[in-house]
Amino acid sequence: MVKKTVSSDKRKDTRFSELEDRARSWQFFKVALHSKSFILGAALSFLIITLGVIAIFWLPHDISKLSVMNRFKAPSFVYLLGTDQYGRDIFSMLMSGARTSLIVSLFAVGIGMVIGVPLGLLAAGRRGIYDIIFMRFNDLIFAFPSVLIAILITSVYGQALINAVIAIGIFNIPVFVRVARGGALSLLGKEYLLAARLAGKGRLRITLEHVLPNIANLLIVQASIQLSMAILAEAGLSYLGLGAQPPLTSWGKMLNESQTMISFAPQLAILPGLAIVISVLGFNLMGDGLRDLLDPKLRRRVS
Amino acid sequence: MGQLYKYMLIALFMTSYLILPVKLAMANASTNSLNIGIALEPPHLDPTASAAGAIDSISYVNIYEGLTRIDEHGEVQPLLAKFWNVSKDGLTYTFHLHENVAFHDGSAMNCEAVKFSLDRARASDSVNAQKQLFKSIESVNCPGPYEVVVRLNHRSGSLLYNLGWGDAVIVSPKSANDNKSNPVGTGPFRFQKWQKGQQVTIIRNDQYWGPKPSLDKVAFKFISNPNAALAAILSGDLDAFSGFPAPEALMQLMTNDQFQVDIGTSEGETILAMNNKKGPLANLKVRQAIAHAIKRQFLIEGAMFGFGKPIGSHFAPHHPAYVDLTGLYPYDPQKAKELLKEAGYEGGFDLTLKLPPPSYARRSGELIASELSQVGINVTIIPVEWAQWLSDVFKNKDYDLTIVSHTEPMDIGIYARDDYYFNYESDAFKAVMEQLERTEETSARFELMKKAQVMIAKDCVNAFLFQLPHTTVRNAKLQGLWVNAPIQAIDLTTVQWSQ
Amino acid sequence: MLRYVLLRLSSLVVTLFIASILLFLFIEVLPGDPAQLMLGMNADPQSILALRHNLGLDQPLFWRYIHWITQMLQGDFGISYTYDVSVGELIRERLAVSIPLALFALFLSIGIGLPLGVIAARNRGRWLDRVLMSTLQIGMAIPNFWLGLVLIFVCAVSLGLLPSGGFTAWNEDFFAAFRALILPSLALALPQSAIIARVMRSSLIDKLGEDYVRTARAKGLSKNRCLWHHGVRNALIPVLTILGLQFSFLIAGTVIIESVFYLPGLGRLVFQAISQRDLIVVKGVVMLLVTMTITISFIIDIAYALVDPRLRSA
Repeated sequence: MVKKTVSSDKRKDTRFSELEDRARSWQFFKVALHSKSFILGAALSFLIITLGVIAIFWLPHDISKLSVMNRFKAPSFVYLLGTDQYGRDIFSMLMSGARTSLIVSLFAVGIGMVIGVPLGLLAAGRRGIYDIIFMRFNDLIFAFPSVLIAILITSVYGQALINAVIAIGIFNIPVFVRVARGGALSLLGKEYLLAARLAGKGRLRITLEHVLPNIANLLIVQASIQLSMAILAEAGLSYLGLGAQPPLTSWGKMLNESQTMISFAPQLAILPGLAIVISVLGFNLMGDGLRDLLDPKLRRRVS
Repeated sequence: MGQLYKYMLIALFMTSYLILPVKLAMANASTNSLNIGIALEPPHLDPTASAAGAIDSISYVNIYEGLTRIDEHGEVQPLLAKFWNVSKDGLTYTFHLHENVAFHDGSAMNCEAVKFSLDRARASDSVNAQKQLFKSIESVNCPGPYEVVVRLNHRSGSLLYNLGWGDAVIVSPKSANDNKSNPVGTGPFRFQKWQKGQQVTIIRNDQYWGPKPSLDKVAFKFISNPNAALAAILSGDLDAFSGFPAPEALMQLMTNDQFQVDIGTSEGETILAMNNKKGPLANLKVRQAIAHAIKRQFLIEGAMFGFGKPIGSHFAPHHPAYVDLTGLYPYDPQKAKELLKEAGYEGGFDLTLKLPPPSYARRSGELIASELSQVGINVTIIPVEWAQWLSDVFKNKDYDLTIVSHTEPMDIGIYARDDYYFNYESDAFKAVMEQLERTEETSARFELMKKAQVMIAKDCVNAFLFQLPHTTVRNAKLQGLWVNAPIQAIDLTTVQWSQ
Repeated sequence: MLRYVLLRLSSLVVTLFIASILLFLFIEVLPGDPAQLMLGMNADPQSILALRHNLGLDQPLFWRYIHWITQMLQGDFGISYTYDVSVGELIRERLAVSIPLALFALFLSIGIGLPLGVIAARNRGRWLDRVLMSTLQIGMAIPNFWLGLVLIFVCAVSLGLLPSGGFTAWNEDFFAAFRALILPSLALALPQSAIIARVMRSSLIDKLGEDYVRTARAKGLSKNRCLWHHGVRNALIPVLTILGLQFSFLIAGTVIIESVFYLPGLGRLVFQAISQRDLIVVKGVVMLLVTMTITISFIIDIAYALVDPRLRSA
């Protein structure tokens, strides 16, 4: 019922009003709070983000101190989920893994946005040769097999977190070029852009003041989807032994190290796997919730 | 939802464990074939052109044979050479070859082939990875078709042993250049097929000159993922795994009647190598402090799940000349701190630890970093691939600490090498090695070896951690595989299925 | 149209040229010497020099590029440093695993995903739809290598139904080769099928909302016939676009699954070649994959332009 706020007939009238356009762009976040999948997704993401952020400053137990005598402890009040093969607290490990996952995925998606969005806007604004060059550049990046290039990057520059970020980030650039370009092109005919231009505003100013706010919703939806993909990618890389290195840990690394112990310590393999599932699920649901609300066609039918 | 899912998964694992013991892992017991797993795939199959141990695992005494061979106990035995005489001055060896031996390509194995093989390995453009094995050889001559005369430029106590290495096998002059992809030797098995990335298959050589092996077909499968290795064993896809990569799973396999786990000795001395000329590590007290800070029992328990023998020097514990020096620097963090204080590093300092890919190194590295941090040494772990390890650490000596297992047999001599990556220089040690090279009498040799072990332990060149075990997991009905690995080899000549 | 094709073709050539330079430079900066790696710790420096010369590693960078690119243009990928056989042959062997694996995974994901999508769309809003959609959400969130581990554990180790990994050559034992690919393709396909089901569902719901479908319904066509005739066929277009993207991912992006199941596929060939510094193999395979993807996107562009003349101006 809430979704009626932007019903289709009303949209027709407000088609050329920038205020309405922009309001619609932001309003849906309010609306989103009424979508079940968005709420569940946001809650799961919030859980993971909170754990990850806390882990930057504090962990229940120091995971750089290894103590073989303490290994494979059952869950208790001291060790919430028990201890692993080196006597480290599994809950602290999972928190540290959340931190790694978040850092890698946020920065990787950040790289994609910071580089991709301006390129996409430039392509849309200038058209012609810029457009062709950027789109070919996009094809070029897309054409490289991402996993293999990520492996190459970590081989060249060492197996550190920053290189996992770069490796995943590069492949986020073309995604955002595409989304920004597409979004900007769809605004091209809008009268308020023309009005702004007639008022003598420069290209940069128009882009910053009028185009960017109007495609922000698109970008945010895409970002939440890319975040979940980046988390999966990071897990895959660290499962192969690339990415986070001790004393940092990562869910993929935990999985890799515990897979042969499934028979006597299944929780060691199950918990990090579950953590991956929860965080990916969280970001996916959140992105989905947002997208459903964005898509006018879908909204029309729901209302 | 997540909670439910978790319970579902746990239930799934539990059920599968109930079913597990019922299942029979008997794939090949009825036939005479064998599927054996090894962790690494060889780059090619010519042992005279690469250091890769996987080449020897497959080919040594199965496909290729040398004049002598090294047996399960590390002793030299005759092979293609029936017997030999040594001249009084110890400079001339005359080998008498078996007659009627043919290579797999049909050509005859004779003195020509031996001369060709040894000269090829010694040549200036040779790509043999162990060229130093042939350093003492002056010339090889053929007075008769089955008589080989090897002249030395100085007395050598290790010639017969050196000729037993995989790098010294006899190859056919006709096909030597194709050995990388189509290996041709004189052994009891001939090469059949190499499915790259998967397996090498060898079949029985029915024209073999010696006693014929029981197995008629053997597939070596390459599985480096430890979980895949465990699954392949448990599911019966493999009959055996030599050098099993998951020590944490051994207990589980030991309690299962279908499998037999052999924990043998290997020549792999696992050490925490230190750059003896770099920064604080140039100070003997700092190196001793590091040795005092490490508890070998924890390391062996944590990294190897209890499988491995502690060592106190660079020498294999199963060797008769071994001296137990593990008590020289006992675990004592307090002592370590005091030594650091004496050396002027009371406030602690930073070191890097470069770790190659094997799990023993990565796991030990994490444990050691944690132990060293407790005495105030802040260690940064840098994992590297082998290629990078060889260029950074081994060649350019750009490292502080590294963990590696030295798997060559009797390799204490590396401490006498100029410019070796430890950056250790001791004229006294070099003199002992020089003397050893020229000594042939066993007990005198043993004395020198003992002396050498004590010297490097006292100088605390490296922190000596543990001897890598050689673990073989096999179907309980499979017999005859080597328990120990004095050299990297999987000798299949006497392997058979019991009834 | 001809002008468009020519323009597009020239940009294809330029893109490939740039890709080849990027790749070459990138791989040349890899630390570590292949010759040292091959000869190991005890190697004599002279042996290493001899091997470097044999491999052509002592040539200047520019000449090595020219040499490589002219060879590639003649369809010759060079000789692998480590395996010492032609790279082309290595790739052919691996494709015999990778292409069937990708195809199986694709068919499986379609076979599972499409019906689920149709069922969900047909029951839109009811509990079946909700249960299906939540399950699919979870399915999408499961990392495929984790699924692989579970499948190995359950189907191979505990039940002994299927091999735990490895691959038998097709010409040796066709049935065994087929069985070897079942679990890995399942591990790849299940998360993918969740995506397909979701795309199919929303696309189908979209199409069912179109006026012509409503008209057909009004004309008395039964709900099922209508769903099939007008809905599913038209809804397939976005699904096919996704499948096209997935196929190229499946050919090369399966390194992790190949490592879990120790399959001798293309991805693992590159992975191994990178760690062994078998640079010629890395360059060859990656360039092949890049060429393949760029060519596919070229063909798609041309196809779209044939259908929709408006696109030709771009």
